[in-house]
Amino acid sequence: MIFNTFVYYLLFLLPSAVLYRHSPAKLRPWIIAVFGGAFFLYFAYSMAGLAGAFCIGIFLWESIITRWYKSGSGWCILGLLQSLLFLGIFKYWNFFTGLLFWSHPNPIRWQGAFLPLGISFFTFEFYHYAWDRKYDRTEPGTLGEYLAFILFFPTMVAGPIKRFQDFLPKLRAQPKQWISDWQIGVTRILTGLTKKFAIADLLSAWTDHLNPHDIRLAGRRALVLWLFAYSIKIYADFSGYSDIAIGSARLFGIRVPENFDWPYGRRNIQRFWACWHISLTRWLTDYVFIPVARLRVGSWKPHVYGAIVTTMLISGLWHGAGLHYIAWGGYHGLLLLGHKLWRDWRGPASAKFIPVFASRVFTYLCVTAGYALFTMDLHTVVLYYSRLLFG
Amino acid sequence: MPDLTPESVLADLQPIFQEALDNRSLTVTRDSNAQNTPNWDSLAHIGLIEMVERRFKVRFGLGEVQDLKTVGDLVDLTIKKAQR
Repeated sequence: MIFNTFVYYLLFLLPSAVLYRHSPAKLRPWIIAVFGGAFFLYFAYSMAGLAGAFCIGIFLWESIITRWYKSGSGWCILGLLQSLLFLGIFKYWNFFTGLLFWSHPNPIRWQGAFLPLGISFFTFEFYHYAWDRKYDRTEPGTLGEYLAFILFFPTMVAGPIKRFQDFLPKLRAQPKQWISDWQIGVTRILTGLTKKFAIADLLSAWTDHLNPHDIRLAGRRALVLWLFAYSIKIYADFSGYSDIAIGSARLFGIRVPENFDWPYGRRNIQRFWACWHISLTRWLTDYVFIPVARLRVGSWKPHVYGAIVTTMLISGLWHGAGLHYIAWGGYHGLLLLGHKLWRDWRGPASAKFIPVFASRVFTYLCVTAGYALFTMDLHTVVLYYSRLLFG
Repeated sequence: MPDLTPESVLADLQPIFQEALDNRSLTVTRDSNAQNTPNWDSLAHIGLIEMVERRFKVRFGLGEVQDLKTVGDLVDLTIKKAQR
């Protein structure tokens, strides 16, 4: 956890935000880029040693390649492929090669594998930029502006996943509202820290490390309670991170996308996903769902149902390199599919109080029921659900 | 497809929106978008685009589909594509 260190606030956030606000427009992107680079080197080194720190080269390499991106150009395709390659090698190499050699020890296992700091997020921003340049949906910006975008350290570790065309005007605007920005930013950071330490970490002491031994010993009520506790913990944890990131960005006078909008109060699973990890949902909609749904191979095209499930399977895989994450994504794909079929069959949803209330509760229960898939390996999760359902 | 005007395309889009967004009393304007129109989510968007393509015998590109923000954008793009 980076956001609970003095180093983050005293060495990086406060000096860079103050310097940024006092600097002329031309220098501002470079202040973010320099502090972002130093932030990456410091924390990547402390987590993964020299190899982790050397991954700063990925940012430098990628930012140089982007200077050749043009509408419809092959360089954009290269950009898309290299984003996937970075993510694939660092995050999924051992997982997929392990599946390939599932019956015996993996001969091509990467023994020293490590995850570069923020790779799940920065590769998605790389991919977005390459795609949107390919379709001419964003201007290129200068090298400094692009480096500021990818090295903007408040959002580097846990999002929200930004879009270059949204970020650029904020980067170019002179930040003027010191007092209100800092009031809002500091309040948001404190809100996030409270969610993280007062709620999430408190519940983590109980929800983490649920293992097969505990599951065999626990009563069914405790297992049910575990699910509810986990649902609160994961929301407080992740939305807490997002609050800190959004609040930190605000100290620069930069507004980044919101990531959570009371997801548990939503009346169907589709609304839940529109309000949970919003920046990821939007990314998946734009760069997975719509391209898959619009895919044409001769006269064949995938059904929109297939696009839904594919998108959610990829969402699951993005959350972690494990079969249970894919299963969790598949579970949510089926929930979304079920909701669409239900709506197609039953027509518009009722607006009366009891059906609305019931659907909100039902949606929350469906989401919560899936959390075991998110946190446990498949063997443990089968044991968990069988104990939960059959005692 | 001759004689397409912004007004005629907008009128032709009304039943398409009503069907795609499952709301028989819906009336969209050029300013309607996903934020101010109930049920216009990404799933409905894909269905909507396919219905418009069938109705006007046009084909939208991937980038174009992603760039559509308002009904007005859809009207203008449909006319542009149909006139090619």
